[in-house]
Amino acid sequence: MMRLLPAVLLGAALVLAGCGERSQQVSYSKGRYAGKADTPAWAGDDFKNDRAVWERAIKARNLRQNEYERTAGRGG
Amino acid sequence: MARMKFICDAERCIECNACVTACKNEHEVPWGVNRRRVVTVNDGLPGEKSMSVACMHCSDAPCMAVCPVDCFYKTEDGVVLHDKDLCIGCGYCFYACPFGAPQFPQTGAFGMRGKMDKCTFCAGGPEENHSEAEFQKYGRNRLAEGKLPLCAEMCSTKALLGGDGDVLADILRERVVVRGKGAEVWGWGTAYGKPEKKAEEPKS
Repeated sequence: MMRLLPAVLLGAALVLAGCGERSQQVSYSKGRYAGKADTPAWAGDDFKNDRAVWERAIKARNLRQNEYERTAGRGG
Repeated sequence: MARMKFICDAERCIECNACVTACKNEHEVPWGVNRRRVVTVNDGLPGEKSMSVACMHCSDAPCMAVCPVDCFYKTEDGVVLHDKDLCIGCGYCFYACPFGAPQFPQTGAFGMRGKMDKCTFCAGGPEENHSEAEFQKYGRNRLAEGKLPLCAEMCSTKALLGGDGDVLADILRERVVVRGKGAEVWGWGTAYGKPEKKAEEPKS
């Protein structure tokens, strides 16, 4: 009987292992950009890496899209 | 810091498709790829509405979330761009995008999908600014020239606006306040300005 005990215990462990339940909830991790680094728009000959100048230029272009600012009357 | 966005005013869009044409010409986009297109709802019926649609450069972009090779990135100004050297053309981003913005050139004999192409907000891509490689892969980089996307800047009715979201919201808010809403935006007053004084009532 004692000789069979290890085999019985091993068998019981294997059977019980099948009853174990693992979490099937997928945990999503936020991916990180894996490509090449980009140069910012203000880096280059046009703006000489001066972000403030670039932002002013973009803001001016942005406001020019408001035609009410470009015309005297404010008709509908 | 600006958050670059597009807004299309459906009350103003006249479905001229000039934005689509300008985009294709500016970036020399190949056949079968439309980075921008005009969608019309209730076409041919009174009150039809048109809207110019492209990548909306989402704040929480689903294309970035689903990309299996993580080829998307967002610039400091909120422009969603991707690295074409990394893209495998799987098409997940197309399924995830609610605007149908990702486009795939049909390369090869059996309609094999090429690398994804989409609106770059005229900001080029991960190559040296104004380089030949950047133009070939992503088109022109107008932002690096201090300009806004061509589609918005050349829109004749100023239906399509592009730029910092806060500024665009201010422009649109002022517009809506001036022109009114609902039935008021229809007809002569909208097209040619409101009459200076009300016409006299006919004498009975």
